[in-house]
Amino acid sequence: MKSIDKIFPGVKALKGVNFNLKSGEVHTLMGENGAGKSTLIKILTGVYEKDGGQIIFDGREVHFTNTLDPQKLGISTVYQELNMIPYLTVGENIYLGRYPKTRKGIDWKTLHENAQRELDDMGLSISSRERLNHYGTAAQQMVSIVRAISLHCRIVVLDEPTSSLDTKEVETLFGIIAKLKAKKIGIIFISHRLDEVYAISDRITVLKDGSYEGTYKPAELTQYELVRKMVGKEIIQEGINTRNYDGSNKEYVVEMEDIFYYPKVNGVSVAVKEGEIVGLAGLLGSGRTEVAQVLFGYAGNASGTIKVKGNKVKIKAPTDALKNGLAFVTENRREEGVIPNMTIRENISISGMPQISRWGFIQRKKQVALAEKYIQRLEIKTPTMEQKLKNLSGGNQQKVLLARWLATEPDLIILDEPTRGIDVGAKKEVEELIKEIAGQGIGVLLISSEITELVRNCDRIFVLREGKNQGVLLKEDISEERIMKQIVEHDPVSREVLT
Amino acid sequence: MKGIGKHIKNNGTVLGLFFMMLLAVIINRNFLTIENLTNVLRQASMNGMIAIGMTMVIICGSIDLSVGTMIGFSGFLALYLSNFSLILAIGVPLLFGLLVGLINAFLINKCKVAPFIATLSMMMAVKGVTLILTKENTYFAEHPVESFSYVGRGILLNYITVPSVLFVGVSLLGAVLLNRTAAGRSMYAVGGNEEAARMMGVNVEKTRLVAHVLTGLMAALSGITLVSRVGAAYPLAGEGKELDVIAACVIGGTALTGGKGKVSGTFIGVLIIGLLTNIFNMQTFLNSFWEKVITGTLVLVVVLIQSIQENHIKIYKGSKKTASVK
Repeated sequence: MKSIDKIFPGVKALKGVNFNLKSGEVHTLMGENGAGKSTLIKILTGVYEKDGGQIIFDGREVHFTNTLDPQKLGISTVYQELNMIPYLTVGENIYLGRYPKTRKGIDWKTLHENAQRELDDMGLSISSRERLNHYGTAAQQMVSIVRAISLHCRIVVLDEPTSSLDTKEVETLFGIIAKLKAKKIGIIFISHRLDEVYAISDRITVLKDGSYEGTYKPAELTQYELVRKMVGKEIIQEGINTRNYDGSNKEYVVEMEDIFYYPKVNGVSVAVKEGEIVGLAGLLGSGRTEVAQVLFGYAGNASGTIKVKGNKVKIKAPTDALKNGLAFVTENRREEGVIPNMTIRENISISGMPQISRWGFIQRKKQVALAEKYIQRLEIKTPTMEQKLKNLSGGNQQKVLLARWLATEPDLIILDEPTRGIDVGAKKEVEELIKEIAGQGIGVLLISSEITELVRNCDRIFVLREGKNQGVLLKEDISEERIMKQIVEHDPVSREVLT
Repeated sequence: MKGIGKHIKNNGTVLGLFFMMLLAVIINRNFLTIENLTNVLRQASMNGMIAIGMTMVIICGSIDLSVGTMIGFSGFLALYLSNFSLILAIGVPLLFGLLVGLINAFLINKCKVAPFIATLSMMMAVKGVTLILTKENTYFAEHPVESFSYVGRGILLNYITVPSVLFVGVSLLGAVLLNRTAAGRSMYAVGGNEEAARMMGVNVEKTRLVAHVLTGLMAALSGITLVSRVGAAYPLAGEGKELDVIAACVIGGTALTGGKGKVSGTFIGVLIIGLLTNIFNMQTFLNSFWEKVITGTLVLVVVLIQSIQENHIKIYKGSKKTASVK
């Protein structure tokens, strides 16, 4: 793929990206959210059409207009979310659409024999006649790879295949990858786990914000340099943390200890004091979002202790979290946050219903007053509060979301990627707002993939890697470099820093 | 133990059928007479044929509510045309069944109307047309060709009725289609995971079209059989039957979420509902409206068992089989 461009309305998602793959090679794509990995893959697999550049396959230029074209050439994708038919047998999933036939119809015996041979060839102990959903995620992924092989594919794209596997399953997967290499199949591998990437890759290509940052052999690139290329900013941005937060005589709002949430969180401890802005740093897949989800009760089966204001509490569902004075601004604003067809007034008041209603009836006056208060306080730019939320800009939608949660008068507010997808000006405003919120004594747990954003705003930063604490930084120690160093080098959390 | 458990799980509906028969024998000494059994099978056949088509539609993840009123419509058409010729009396209603199936599929595939809504409006439209054509009266044919009554009343070898032959034949063909042809397997793929099926090169629209057209045909066939036996076309005949048919599929283990179901299961489901009707007709101590209560309970029990099985798999994720390199 040569100098690929992709333009979405308003954003240039890919700027002249180069990528090449040799047969029998594992080539890893790395980059944070919005770096353009998925976009590049989607162009290769025909989901999107490219706006510029060339795709050359076996020395010939090719054009993909639909998802079947690349499949015909032998480009197969194993997606993160499994794309197979759960209620059918393993064998049928492998040969779906290519059934061996006799005069009496489908020849099930031959089908299962062939499928079993393919599975055995890969050294998998999977039975062809078993229903697919009797197997776990890992095995289903393997079946998906076997299907690709049986289609005589030349390239297999593995999009974050390890994100939901445990250590042993990852080993199995790597065994399969080695066999694919031996068959001269090229592999595009996407993962956020650095150790895995170094263990399996022949070459690594780094993308950042849609531009090509270079291709390296693992031996030529240290983990630290790799992280720097993915998240580092060359230009030091003005505005280092100007807050003067002194937490020495403040109480803890929330303390989380030894949180486990299979498979992404494996023993994390995090604590936030009142009025403090605490950052969670780490690469994508480090468990930072999942920790927040556990705290807000999205993860029913998580284990560990959670204390709110010193009292041990059980948070099994978001309603428990609300009762304990927690608020959560999700990273998926569009899917989980805003209700686009409702007005700003309704969107602001929807979580604070008890305060503004009496015997179940909404008191219109109180609702209007509430909306007015927050529109003014957060400087939401809108002609009236009756405007539908979908008509606002990203930054203003984010403010409405913040207003909604502030209306519940929380003690702690979790902000997951609060500035994603909003423009630079609005970003600044949101950051100012966060500081203002903390100034009122509300604890803030801030999650961001932009390290500079954490550096600018946080009083304390917990660095995570693969679901474990890597280290903690207090305000004078916080710098971009220190965070990146901690991501690659383990620096155990000492109890003193925690308390 | 595990083997027995698996057997019960796979053949729960068969056990249900045996239980029903046992109950029937206890309540009515005359149950096990050949006359009665022939009767049960013949009565079940009308719904049964449609249920085979409905199984395919549900496996595709769709639904067809228009089959009930299609019975009345095709029945009237058949009886009216039986004044002229047998071929017309059978061919034209079938043609309309095919047409309604095509329209349903068109609405669902091309206009992206939810299957429930698309076939609901079809159901109402068909009912309206029937009422207009019959002028809201039961229709009797003036001089029908004699051979027409054979479809519903014919008897082969003393005890085998033509409708039950049709039902068994349709079931066998349905089973072959679902198990042995690519078209049938595509239905499972589409209902199991539509996007994945598309990615694997299955023609999703065509698959749904086939299922809906077959179901339309079956509804028409059922209507023809009914009027042929009764000799009169009641405009509201078949109203509400779509729900009985869906209940039979569900009792037979077909999941309304799509991707799961078997012709054999539906066949037994149809028999269970048929037996229930028979039992209620043969006893005097319970009001016959209790039949509906029991059918409803039965459907609920089957769905609950399915849901427990599904959730069992999800809760004990750890017990799922894992792959390993030998």
